[in-house]
Amino acid sequence: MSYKVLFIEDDPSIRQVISAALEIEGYVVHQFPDGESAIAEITHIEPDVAIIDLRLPGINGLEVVRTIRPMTHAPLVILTAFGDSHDVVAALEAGADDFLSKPIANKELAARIRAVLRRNRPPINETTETSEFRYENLVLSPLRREASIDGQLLEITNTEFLVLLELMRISPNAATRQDLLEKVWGYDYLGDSRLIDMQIYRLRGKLAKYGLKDHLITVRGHGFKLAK
Amino acid sequence: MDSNLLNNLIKNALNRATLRTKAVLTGLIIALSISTVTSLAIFQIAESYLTNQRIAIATSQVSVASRLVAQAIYDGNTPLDSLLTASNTFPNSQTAIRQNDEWFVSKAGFDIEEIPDEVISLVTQGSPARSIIMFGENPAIAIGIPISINDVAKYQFVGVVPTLELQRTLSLLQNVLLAGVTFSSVGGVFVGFWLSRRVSEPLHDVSEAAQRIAFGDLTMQIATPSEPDLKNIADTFNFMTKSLQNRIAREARFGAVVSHELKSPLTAIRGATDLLDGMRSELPKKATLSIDILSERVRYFERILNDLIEISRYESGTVQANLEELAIQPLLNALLNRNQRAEIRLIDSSTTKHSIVLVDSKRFQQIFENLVANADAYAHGLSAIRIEEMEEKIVIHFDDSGIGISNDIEHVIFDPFFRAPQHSAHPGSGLGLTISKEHANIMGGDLVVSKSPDGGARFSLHLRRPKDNS
Repeated sequence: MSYKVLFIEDDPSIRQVISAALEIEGYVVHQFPDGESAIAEITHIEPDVAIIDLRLPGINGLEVVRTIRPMTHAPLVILTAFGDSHDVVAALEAGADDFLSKPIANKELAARIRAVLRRNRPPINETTETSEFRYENLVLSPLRREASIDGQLLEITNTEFLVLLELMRISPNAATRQDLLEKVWGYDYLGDSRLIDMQIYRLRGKLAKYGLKDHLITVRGHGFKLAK
Repeated sequence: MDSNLLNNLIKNALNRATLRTKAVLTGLIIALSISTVTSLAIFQIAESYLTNQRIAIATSQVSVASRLVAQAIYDGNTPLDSLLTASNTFPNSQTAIRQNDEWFVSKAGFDIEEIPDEVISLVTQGSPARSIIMFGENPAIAIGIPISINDVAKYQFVGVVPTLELQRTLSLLQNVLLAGVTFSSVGGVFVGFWLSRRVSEPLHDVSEAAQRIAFGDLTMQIATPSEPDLKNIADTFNFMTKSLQNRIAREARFGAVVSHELKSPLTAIRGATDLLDGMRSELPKKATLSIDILSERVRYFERILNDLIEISRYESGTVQANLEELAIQPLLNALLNRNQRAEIRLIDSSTTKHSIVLVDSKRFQQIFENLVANADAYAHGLSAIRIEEMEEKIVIHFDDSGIGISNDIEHVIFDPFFRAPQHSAHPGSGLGLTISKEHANIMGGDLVVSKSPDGGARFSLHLRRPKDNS
């Protein structure tokens, strides 16, 4: 089965080159020059992953992320020439799962796409050991990709689910930022810790809504863990 | 001392003195000269007026007394010594009269020798005379009047009137004027001080604002003083800050646009080159050689572009550090492993297990990779990385055993675009160390160069430790 990639990029040469590179890797690429046309087609295409340029004519990349986030579970990857801190943070806040900086080597792009797709699949090997993880009244089912509190389903993104899963799996131990980068994002180099900090921040907010306040704690000089 | 030398000394001292000292000195000199001249004039006038008046009164008193004595002599009823006692019209005044070279005095102890000779000789010659003398221990006026009986000058009458009161008045006046001089000098100092403050305070504001601007705070504006001259300075200054701000904003915008405009085509070129590279088995050998050159040059271009963008971000002051607390030893170990540089010795001399630093991991990685690459290019690689623990910071020394950094380039090695002359053949922009130092600074630390114990260069990265380790 070929994975479907939704690719929004206004520069035609970049669009063509990157699409060609992804097609060589075996992906089916749906290219769009702007956000509006992509949004119109997304439910029809049902992509496995979306790559979105930040500067777009019409509605910008951030708006596109905000619009399609509720429409798909596919990981959203930002591709930007503006690697500034505030751009990245804004993209992650809008609901993006990862970001890549232009220019990027075709091999690295393919590796990162593979990584986001890998974590979107159920981790079959681990679920054979444990079918459910419990913490307080929170239950995580890796098989069904569901998180619930007292039977009530939590609305969390796939990345947030994976962060939570990793923290519950190793609890009561703490996970370093690097552990989380490797396990959740699949990075094999020293990655950008802003990715993790942003996800932890969002997770804390969501858990607090269900009465689990101050449970996801920071371990100074180390990383994060669930409170005992 | 040579007067030229003295002049120069004063001139130098004045040149070195602050504006405030100069203003205070000027105030003091002006106040002191005006008050001294005025006081001297007042004293001169008062002294001469009071003295003249005193002399006139004394003269008229003595002349009245002399007339009384002359009348009594003419009448012939009273002996001369009794006459003198009666003619003492002033308290403490004394009189004497000579008849046929014999002096009669009004009071025992009046020593006629105390009267100056010229007074005596003038009176003897028939002319009145006077002189200011010291009589005993007190000042006095001596007045001599010849007394003629039937137009024949037969007697010489001398009156001595003390002027102690006059002296007291003059000395009081002198003290008052001296107090006046002192008071106005102190006043002059205060006026000088006040004036200099008035002028120097806005100047001080300007210099403080200029300093803050120099450290990158361009929002600095100074309050406008009411004096028109100073207002001009403040207005000009604020205008300058504003236009500087605009200019930097313009340059930052320019940097952002350029970076985007260059990165987009570079992304396409990079992608196309990679595509070609993936098909190299289907291409002739000459074509693959071109692809290699293209790939290498594109990567180089990418590195330089990223460095330039990073530098322009630092220059526009838009960089923010993403600080986290990390244990330094595991971080360095992870970087050594990832870069497959396990052969570099990591020597940790800190006493705390897992010393924690405040660090932006991405920037730390860039500094690490830059220093490792520099050592590889110029010193056959790092000889060791040493961790040293200090009170408020952790210092990481990147040591090599190469030829080291010579003293004459030590102070310029972190300057943008600096390349050591002997290394100019190596590819590089000369921005690596500049960016590394900026990275260190934005994390609240520093990067400095010195001599390594292994014989080559030592780059020491100073990083802050978290405030409390609770």
